[in-house]
Amino acid sequence: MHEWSLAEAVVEAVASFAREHGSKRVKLVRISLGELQAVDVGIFKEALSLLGESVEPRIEGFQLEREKAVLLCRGCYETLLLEELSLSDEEREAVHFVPELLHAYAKCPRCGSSDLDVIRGRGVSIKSIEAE
Amino acid sequence: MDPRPAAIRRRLEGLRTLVVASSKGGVGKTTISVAMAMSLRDLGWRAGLLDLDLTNPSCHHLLGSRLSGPLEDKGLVPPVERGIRFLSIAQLSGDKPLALRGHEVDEAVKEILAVTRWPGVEVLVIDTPPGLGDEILDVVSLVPRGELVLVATNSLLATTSLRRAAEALAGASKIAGVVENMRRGGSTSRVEEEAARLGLRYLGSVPYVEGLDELVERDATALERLIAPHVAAVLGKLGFERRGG
Ligand SMILES: [Zn+2]
Repeated sequence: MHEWSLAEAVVEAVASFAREHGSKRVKLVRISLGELQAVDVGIFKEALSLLGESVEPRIEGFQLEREKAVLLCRGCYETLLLEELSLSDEEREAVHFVPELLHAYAKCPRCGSSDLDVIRGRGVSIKSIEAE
Repeated sequence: MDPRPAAIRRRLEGLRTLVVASSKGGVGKTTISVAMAMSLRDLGWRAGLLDLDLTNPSCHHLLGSRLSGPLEDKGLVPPVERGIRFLSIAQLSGDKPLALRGHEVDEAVKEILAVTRWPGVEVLVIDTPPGLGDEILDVVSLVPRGELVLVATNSLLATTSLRRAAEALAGASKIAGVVENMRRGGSTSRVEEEAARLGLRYLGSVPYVEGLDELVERDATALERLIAPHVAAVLGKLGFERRGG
């Protein structure tokens, strides 16, 4: 997902959550960034703070943590990391839009199965919202 | 918390969305979806087509698409093919087979709806996977003001599952009505009776065309000539009149 549209989604989701719960200010939003979506952290941060200013209630701070991708191969039941898979740049690009495309492109280096389950690090998720 | 539902609402606000579904396979749901997009285009509407059948996408065959890749510009922007802004997972997967589990279908569908932008599009036709499983119902509920178009054929099995679909969707989304596909001349329509009994609007029928798939394969305009005009009548009932220009 592109950083700006992603930031827009996060800010929109947080702001509407805060409004529904009658919050006047949002102090901190913790966000986890899954490795598979390959988000550019610099651009994403910039987008978040800019967009966070312009919503009601205002979002004052963001904290980002990266989450490494962990896959489970259903062929041999071994866990795998993203760097163990051989993906071309083009394939990586497609996977960053829709992580499930791994099934079309990636194979387990141990057993050759393409039945890989993403256990961690798939995409962007909002971990917590501190508001009052 | 998943930020995607908020993104999806934003992406699709201001669009009319026709979600084409069927409770069983083999009723020609994809044919109807593609013909609807073509017909909307011919009526003067700016149409988009989204193939959400991830494991067996086939809209691109009927559309005669070259499967050019989408552009990246603040998300994915589908290419325009034959006057229709068109996105299919086949553009991203290089038409490779994609075997997904239920929860993965759900994830991928949410992702696609959240990242795809439809600049200029007024009406988006969404072709869903066959069957009305939980994942599909979830998706339908994410689409703001989605109008569900059910496709059925004149057979007992299809109407039974039509009833099941209508029950499953009651309240979840607006059911715009039922289109009968592959209707053979002279026969009484069980679909029409069944729709009336379920309190669903019967939107009209599309005739059976012998060997349609082969015709379309040989001649890319076959769908436009043979099916789209009937679909135009259905679209008229949904409020899509011909526009000038
Ligand atoms: Zn393996």
